[in-house]
Amino acid sequence: MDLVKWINGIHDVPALDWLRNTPLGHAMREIPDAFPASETAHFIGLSLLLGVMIVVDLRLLGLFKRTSYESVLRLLPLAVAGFTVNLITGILFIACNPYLYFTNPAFYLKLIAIGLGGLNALWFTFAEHKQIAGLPNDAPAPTLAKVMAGGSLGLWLLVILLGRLLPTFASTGGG
Amino acid sequence: MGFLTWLQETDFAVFLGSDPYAYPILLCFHAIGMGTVVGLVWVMSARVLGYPKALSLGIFHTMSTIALWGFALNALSGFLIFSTEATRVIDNTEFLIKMSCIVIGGFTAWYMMRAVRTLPAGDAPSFPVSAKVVAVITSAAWFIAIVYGRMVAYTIKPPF
Repeated sequence: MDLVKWINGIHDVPALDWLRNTPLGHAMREIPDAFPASETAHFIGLSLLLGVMIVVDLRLLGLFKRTSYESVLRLLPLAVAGFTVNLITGILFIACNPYLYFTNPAFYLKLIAIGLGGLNALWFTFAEHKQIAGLPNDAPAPTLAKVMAGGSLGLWLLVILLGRLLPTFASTGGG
Repeated sequence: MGFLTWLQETDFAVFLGSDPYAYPILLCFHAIGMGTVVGLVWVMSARVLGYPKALSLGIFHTMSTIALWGFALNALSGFLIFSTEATRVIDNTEFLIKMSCIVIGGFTAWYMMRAVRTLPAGDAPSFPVSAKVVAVITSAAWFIAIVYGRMVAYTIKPPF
């Protein structure tokens, strides 16, 4: 648990001080309701991302056989929109109070899960999307694509869990 | 208020409200159920509005089943969260607006599913304007439910 202790005690990091003092950080702390409004947008983005990923990932795993891979994959821009909203609002939360996040072990786990989910999505986009969009309805997706679809769903659910648990694991001292 | 007072004083509600992990875990389930219901309702509404037109309507049956499971998860987790501070939550205007939006969102989503069932599956049909209006209303109702749900956390009266 030395790592957790070290993370809890993080302080005086120039990059975090800089972020805190950017106009973004000031705006988040000084504009009334900026924080709750961003939280609401974060929930909206989360719902959009999860809703689309449930449909896309379950299609790759073999559900919804009556509809084409191609048409289901056309939903992906909605997931990208949800992710973008959450990336922006996520940066706003951090700018508001960087130390609250960078002293929280659950935050690092969330970042790792987002990173893996993002890499998974990029791999799919550049290595698999074209091939899978061309598959006939009744053809199963390649095994690797199925594994990654399962991983995608698991990772985004984990991201939600870790996000909702951030306050529970927030460091009480320091920061 | 007798029932609500009894509810929040049951051993289980007191445990949920005071245990360091029980309440956050309830919130986790509630967030996942929210994303499932609302996300799927938005995807179905998008299809009714014509995007993506090629999406077969056969997919709606399974999607609405999953959305119902998400709803059940949130009805249960929501009730348990409610039980920890029932008498204060019931007095919260934002909570009552949220519940009204969920009732409206539920009925309109059900109505939208009925419109889907009357169309031949497998094709890529366009929906009548009435179904599109319902899709917009249900999407908006769930959107506002999230907005007011978040506001409950900021407007509820402190316990003492």
